[in-house]
Amino acid sequence: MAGRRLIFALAVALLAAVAFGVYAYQGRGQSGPALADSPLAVDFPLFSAGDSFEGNALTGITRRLDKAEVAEAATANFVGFRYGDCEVGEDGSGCTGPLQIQIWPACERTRSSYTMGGEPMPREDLIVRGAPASFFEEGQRLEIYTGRATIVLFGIGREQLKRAAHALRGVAGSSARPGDSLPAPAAGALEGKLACQ
Amino acid sequence: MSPKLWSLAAAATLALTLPSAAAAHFNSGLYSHRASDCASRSDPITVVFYGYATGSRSLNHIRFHTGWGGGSGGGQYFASHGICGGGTQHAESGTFTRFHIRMRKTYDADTTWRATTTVGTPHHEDYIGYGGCFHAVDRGGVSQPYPYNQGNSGFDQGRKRIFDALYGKSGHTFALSENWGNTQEFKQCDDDWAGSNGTVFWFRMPNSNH
Repeated sequence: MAGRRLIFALAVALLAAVAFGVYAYQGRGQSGPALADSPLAVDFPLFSAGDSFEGNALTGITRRLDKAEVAEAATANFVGFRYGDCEVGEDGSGCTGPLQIQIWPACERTRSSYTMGGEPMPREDLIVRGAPASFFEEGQRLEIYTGRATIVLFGIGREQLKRAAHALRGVAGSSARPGDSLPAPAAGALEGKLACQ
Repeated sequence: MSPKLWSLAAAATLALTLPSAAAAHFNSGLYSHRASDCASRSDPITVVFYGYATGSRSLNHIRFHTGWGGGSGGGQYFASHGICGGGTQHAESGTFTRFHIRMRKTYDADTTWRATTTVGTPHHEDYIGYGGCFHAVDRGGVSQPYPYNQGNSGFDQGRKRIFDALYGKSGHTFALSENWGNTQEFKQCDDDWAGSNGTVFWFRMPNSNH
C-alpha cells in the first residue's frame, strides 16, 4: 500500500513538474530562466483522464524527448499517462496496462504520418468531441487531433477508448473538462504541414 | 446443380476465400504477443526484412552481420494475414546484458517489391538477475541524462543496431524508414516501462546465405 502511495506521489510530482515546465515555457521572456530548455517543458497542450479511469489509478507518467537519429522516421517526443498495471510474463515478456494516453506535438505526429510498406496505414476516421480522430491497430489505438496536440490512446477496444476520450481533461495549456468539445486541429496539422514552434 | 457446375462453383469459392500468395499484400500486426491468441502485446515490431526474407534467411544474415548467436524458435507470437503464429527465429549478442531479436515470416508473401517478408522485434535488454527478473528492455525517458536520453529506449537501440549491421552491405537495400506509430509502452520485469518511437526499417534480404 505504501508503495502505491509512493508511486502516486511521484506521479503527481512529475505531473506538476510537467505542468510547471509548460508554464515556464509559455511564460519565458528575454531574460527567462533556462527552464525553457528543460526536457519537461512542452509547447503543446496536455490532456489526461484524471487520477483514475474506470477503477484504474494513474500509475505513471512518462516524458520522452529523444535525440533525433539519422534515418529514423519518428522521434519520441511525448508526455504519457498510464492507467492500471499488469503482470510481466513468467519468461520476462513485457505487458501493458488497460490504458495509456500519450500527448505528442501535432507538428511531429498526425494522421498522415503513418505508412505500412509505403502505403497509407489502414485507419477508421471518426469525430470525437468535435475533433477529427482515427482508429488504428484494429481499434486498439485512437488518435484525436486537436489544436497543436495529437492525443494517442492505447487501450483494449473501441468502446473503452471512446469512454477514455470522453474522460479527457486539460492538464496544461487547455481548460477542457470531460466531455467538452475540443478545438479543431491547427491549420495544416492533419496534412503534416504544421511547422513546429 | 451438375457435378461439373458444382466443382466450378466450389473452385471459385475457394479462390475467393483462401489466402493466396499470388494476390496477397504485406500484412502484419504492429507488436509481438505473449500468448497464442495474439491479444497480449509484448514488444513493438521495428524491422521488416523483404525480398528473399524467409525466417531462416533473415537469421543467417543477422547472425553474419552482427556476430550474434541464435537459432530456431525464441518465443512470443506474431500476427499476419489473420494468422497468429509463434516466433520462428531468434538471435542474441550474449547471455547477460545484450541485444536480442525475435522474428517470424509473415503468413503470405507480397506480390510487389516486398516479396517474402519477415518481421522482427530487436531490442537491447539489461541483465537483472534477481527477483525472478532476468532481462529487461531499457526504458526511455527524461530520467536519463539531460538534455536527451543517451541511447533512447532499448527498442530504439535494437532497431539502430540492425541498421548499423545491414546498412550499406551488399544485397541489403535499405528501402524504407516509416512511421507505424506503435509507441505503446511495455512494463518490464524491473518495473521500468519501454516503448519504440514508432519507426520501422525495411531491409532487403538477398537470395543467398552466407
